[in-house]
Amino acid sequence: MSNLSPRMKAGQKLRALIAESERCKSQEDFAEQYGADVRTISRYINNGIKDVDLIQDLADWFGVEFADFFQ
Amino acid sequence: MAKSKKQQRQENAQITMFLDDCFERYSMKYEWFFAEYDGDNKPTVLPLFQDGVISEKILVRAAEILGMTPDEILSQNKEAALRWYKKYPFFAHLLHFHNLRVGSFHGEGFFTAHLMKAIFGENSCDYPERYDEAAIRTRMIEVLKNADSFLPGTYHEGAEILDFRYETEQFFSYPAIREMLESFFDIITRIKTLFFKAWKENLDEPEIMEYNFLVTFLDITDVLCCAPVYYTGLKRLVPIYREEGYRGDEEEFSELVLVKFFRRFKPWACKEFAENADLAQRYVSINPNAKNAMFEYGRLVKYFLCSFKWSDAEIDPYESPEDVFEQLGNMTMEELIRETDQDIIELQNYQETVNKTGVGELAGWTHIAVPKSSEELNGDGIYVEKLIRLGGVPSKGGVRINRSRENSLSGSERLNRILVHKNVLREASYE
Repeated sequence: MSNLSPRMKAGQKLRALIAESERCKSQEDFAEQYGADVRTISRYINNGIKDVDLIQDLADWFGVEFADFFQ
Repeated sequence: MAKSKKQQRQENAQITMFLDDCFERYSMKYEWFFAEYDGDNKPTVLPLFQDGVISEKILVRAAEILGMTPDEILSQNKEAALRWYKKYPFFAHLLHFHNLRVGSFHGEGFFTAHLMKAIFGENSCDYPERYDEAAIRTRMIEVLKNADSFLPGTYHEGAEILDFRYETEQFFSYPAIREMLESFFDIITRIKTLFFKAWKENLDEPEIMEYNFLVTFLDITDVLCCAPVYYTGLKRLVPIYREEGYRGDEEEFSELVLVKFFRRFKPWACKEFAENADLAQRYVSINPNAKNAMFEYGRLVKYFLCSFKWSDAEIDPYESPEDVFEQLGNMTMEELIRETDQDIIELQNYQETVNKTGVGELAGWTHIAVPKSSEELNGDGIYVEKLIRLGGVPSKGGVRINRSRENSLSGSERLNRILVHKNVLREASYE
């Protein structure tokens, strides 16, 4: 994942967080709980996330740090 | 004896004031329902009396909205105006709740300033500022610089910050929240009862008035076409709902209609709600989307959500559905849905924003959350944690809105249903 751009890293981190989280069972389940369309979530994962506030929001939702999205 | 013109004018003015009061008693405004918008989206309020002549159409519509009869409005019947206010204590609570919430935006000194303005005029003083905007802005720059080390390009060295603004929330105390919500639960139970009774049989006149009033107050719209489902419209929709496979069971309520009042009403803004897990749980069971809204509210209390434009910002085309909207130019909503199969609500919300502010207004903004200090949180931190916990535990209940039937439709099938529902409700409103 180290060669990925920061925004793509953030997208991949979201994928991993959804997979690991006990709060949601799937991307569809996360989309529903998070209050977004599943296509939007899929776009974040595949095209990356460039908005700081969105990453902050997701970090709070999963209870992780902002920096975790780029490691 | 015939009334003089002056007497008639006075009486018309009194009826107009009475009608305004009726709306305000239920935390609504006459102009929400009776306004026309010009090309710049500027409203013109349509009066009940135009040049001394009453508009029968407005009178009948106002009566339907308020759950009164036209005669009760014309005779300024105070008992009738208080009919729902007395039946549901929720309405008296709501006015009080709302005033306290508004006061909490400004902090101490708000009510004194409010009183001063009422006595000495609007310009006699300013409302107190609760937070130090300059300090928030300085801290925001630190957050931006920190974020830039992970996401290069976040901080624009040498550029100016334009149009800075921030949004935040705070908790206030409303010890009577339980009594307030008990009455609200009664309202929700009642509207569902009336909705499904109307499905099976005709309602009597008082029931129709109550149903129509609750549809207005709760802002109940058809889930597909987003038009209000008043009684006449509902009666016409029932055969269509049946054709679509619905049986008229109570659990289908959320599949058929949206209760838009849920989006405006935030009982979790008071501390006592966050402290009462059982009450929160009951509320979530009638409004499943509340969980996410509670989580978001917790964040809004915890942070200043700052927005601004960099002076050197490049307009970045928005991703779907926005970029779809831009690329496809001037397509109608129907054509857009047919072409793209995008999420209808998302598109409609986006189109509403574009209609209000224009596409340019949406582009170029940077948003970032700046944590509050403990002084700024002023003891709210503990309620933030409670609320985020209540909003974030999926195993703790909350009925799921069944959207499987709706989601199984293709874009064009869904569009056809929207058009059918829209036409039915439009025709019913002309009856």
